[in-house]
Amino acid sequence: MKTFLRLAARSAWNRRFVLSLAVLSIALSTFLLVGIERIRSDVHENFAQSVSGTDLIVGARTGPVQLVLYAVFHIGAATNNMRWTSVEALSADPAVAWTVPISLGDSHQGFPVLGTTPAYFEHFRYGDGQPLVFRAGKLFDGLFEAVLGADVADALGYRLGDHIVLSHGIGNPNLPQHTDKPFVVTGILARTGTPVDRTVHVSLAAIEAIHLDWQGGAPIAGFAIPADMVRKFDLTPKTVTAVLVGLKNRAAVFAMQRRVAGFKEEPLMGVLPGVALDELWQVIGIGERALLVISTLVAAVSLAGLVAVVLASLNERRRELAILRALGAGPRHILLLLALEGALIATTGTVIGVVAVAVLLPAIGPLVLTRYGLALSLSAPTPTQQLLVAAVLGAGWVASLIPAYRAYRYSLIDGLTSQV
Amino acid sequence: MVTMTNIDSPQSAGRHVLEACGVRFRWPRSPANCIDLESLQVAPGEHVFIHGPSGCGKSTLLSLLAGVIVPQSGSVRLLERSWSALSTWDRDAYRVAHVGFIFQQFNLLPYLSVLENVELPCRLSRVRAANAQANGSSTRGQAEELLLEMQLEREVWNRPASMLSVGQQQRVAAARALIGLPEVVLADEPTSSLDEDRRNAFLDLLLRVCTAAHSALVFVSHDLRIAERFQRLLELPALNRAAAPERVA
Amino acid sequence: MNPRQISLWLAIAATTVWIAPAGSAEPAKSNYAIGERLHGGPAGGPSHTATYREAAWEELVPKDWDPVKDLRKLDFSQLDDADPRASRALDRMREIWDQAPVNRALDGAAIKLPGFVVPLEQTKSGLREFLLVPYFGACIHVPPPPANQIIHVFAAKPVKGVHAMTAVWVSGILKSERKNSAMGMSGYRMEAKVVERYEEKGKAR
Repeated sequence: MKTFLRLAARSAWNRRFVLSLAVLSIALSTFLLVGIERIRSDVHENFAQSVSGTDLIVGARTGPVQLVLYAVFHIGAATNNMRWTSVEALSADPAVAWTVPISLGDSHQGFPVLGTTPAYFEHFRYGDGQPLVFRAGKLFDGLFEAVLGADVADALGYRLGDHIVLSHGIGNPNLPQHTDKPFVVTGILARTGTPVDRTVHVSLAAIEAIHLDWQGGAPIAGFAIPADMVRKFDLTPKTVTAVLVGLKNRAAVFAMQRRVAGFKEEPLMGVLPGVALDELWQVIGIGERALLVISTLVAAVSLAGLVAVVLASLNERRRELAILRALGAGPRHILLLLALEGALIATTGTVIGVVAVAVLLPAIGPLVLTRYGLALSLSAPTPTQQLLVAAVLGAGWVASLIPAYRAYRYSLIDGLTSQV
Repeated sequence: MVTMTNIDSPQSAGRHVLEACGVRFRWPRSPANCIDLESLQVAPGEHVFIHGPSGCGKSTLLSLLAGVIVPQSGSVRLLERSWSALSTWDRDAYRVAHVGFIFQQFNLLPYLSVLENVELPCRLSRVRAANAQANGSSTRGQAEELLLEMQLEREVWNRPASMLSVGQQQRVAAARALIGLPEVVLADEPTSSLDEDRRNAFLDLLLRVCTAAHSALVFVSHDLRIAERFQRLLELPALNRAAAPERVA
Repeated sequence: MNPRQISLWLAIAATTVWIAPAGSAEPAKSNYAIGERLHGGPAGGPSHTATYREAAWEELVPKDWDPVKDLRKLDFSQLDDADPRASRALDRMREIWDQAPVNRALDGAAIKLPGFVVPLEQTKSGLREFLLVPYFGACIHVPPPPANQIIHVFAAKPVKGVHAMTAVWVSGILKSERKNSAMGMSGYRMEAKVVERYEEKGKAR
């Protein structure tokens, strides 16, 4: 057995150029399968932990998924806002323990800006009930002060005391800027692995202040209010994007939801974050399943490539096999030899793929974290990943039996007298 | 000159090492017999030259003698054992234990070194390995001795077989055929791809080493000029009643 | 190794490769109908929680509670859907449901019962806190149940693989709290020792 293993290895090494292509394709497909599974489970984990301790998210009546997307993930734009009077009514409801109004719409260098109250930093939780912690500085106190999430500070290299200018709107690279009212960085938050890291936090009053002399998304010509004058105005917001609500009794959330839906002053809706996140994940889940199916197909293709490569080489190797027959290798030995060779190739490819995942994912981890706010874990392979790797290996070994069987037949036919 | 002894041979009593009786063989899709042989015997240590032009069934005869194919009627015995009585599996094992092979060309595995090629039969058969290791020697040790006997110096021993000349390859093949002291060496036109000088040199070495190992040699060729170096000359067309001008295979 | 054996092995391998991704994906959405309830009974219940008595959702409602008492006066055949009295009646109904009283007799009872999950707290290690409701689709597609048909469950160990509207068995000590029912504040709590997926024979999941 050891002899044949060595023979298989030497024979394969002899044809290493052609075989290396098969090895690479198997490595790539393993990398895809395992990498996608890792990213999928990391995304799901991050996702599910984005918000904690909030019982209801209330906003204008759009769809639950959109509301969660912009209230929790700060993605997308609210099509409608809710009135400040509704916020006050909510806060006054006896079942409500706390409310945190939030306002979205501006951005800074591609990162969303969140206008909120100090209560946000007190009540917002993520993961396993973890609160927000400052790694430097403190909360905004004055009007034009900002608290940065960890990724914003790291990606743009900001420190306490730096000045930043907010842009009006999200996404477009050429946005109008609120240049006359720069903000100073007073605090930087510790990393959370949630969308908080990618967000710039300012007070609601500040959002009002920078839009005082704007109308319809552009500054009003000839009507600029300088920064030091804005404080004289009433900076209570008229509308906000959404409100995070905490209840005194969590089990009463349905009752609260009903009251919100029946609110007479304006059309509102309340969403349970856990339920909405699950619903969102169902939608994404379809995409992830499609990805997994495609990766499986890629694996199948690469294994077919392996079979094709070994089969194609068989013709030239008939002489070699005849020599082995003459030296005492039976047809079953020939089968074993070819099967071992295919298995070696499949195993090498799989191992390279797994190592690539283990090495590359941590390497691109910081980049992915900054760009997409996704924290990739460096944990050991999950049972699912192990199963995937085993499946690729197993399929590879079985696929090697095809050329092995062919060689077996050849060796029976040729015997010792192959004249090839 | 090294001495090698056959320890596992039941032939010390002087029986035939190879014996074919009433052998009739035809290829599966052919209507006529390819081989029709009354009797052929080889004594232990005997050097036999079988002469015949192409197409008279030389290679087929060698395959029959080696037990690669079995005749439809009659029997071929190696060391008193009939090939037909063994299963395919056992035949392969028996063959590698007692038979050495030299083909006309492409004898070696190109991706193994010279030494590894020579040692290969011992790795595939415990009997051959045991023979090679008799008298406190080792497989590697006997391989090196044989290579020296065949006038292949140390420096080529670790080269890949594909990097040798044809003459060198044939000599390596001969060393491989003789490692582990097989009782029979079958050679299928091994000199046909060598030129004149090399041919004689090769034959000298081969015959000498076979004698020293006390292995029987069955040498098949169309070249009569070398026949005189052998103890016995057989004309295959005369032996084979079914000889035909075209090769039937 | 004959061709038949080889085909068998290939089939096994192909099946493995295809099953693996399917196994790793989220479990398929159960095909319960909206409003459907779960059946308890020995066939469905987890066997190792023998110390927990199997309860029925009906027990959670005090026997003397009659939510439709005030509404018996209305003659619904006289109203059509657009009539404001109908919507007021509906509102009143919902208010009553939100203030439904609890059954004090069940306070401290060790019970197990099946229901559907409304997740509250998902963490890395699983679902920690959720609401258990008696029927499928509650609060998502259909109005939520009365307050005495909702249990606020705290899982002793976070549960993996459980999402909105997953059917589960919970086993633990039930606590009924009475704070301020005018505010819809009373309700049931349970520290669930065991949370298990609900398996029903003969039903595809």
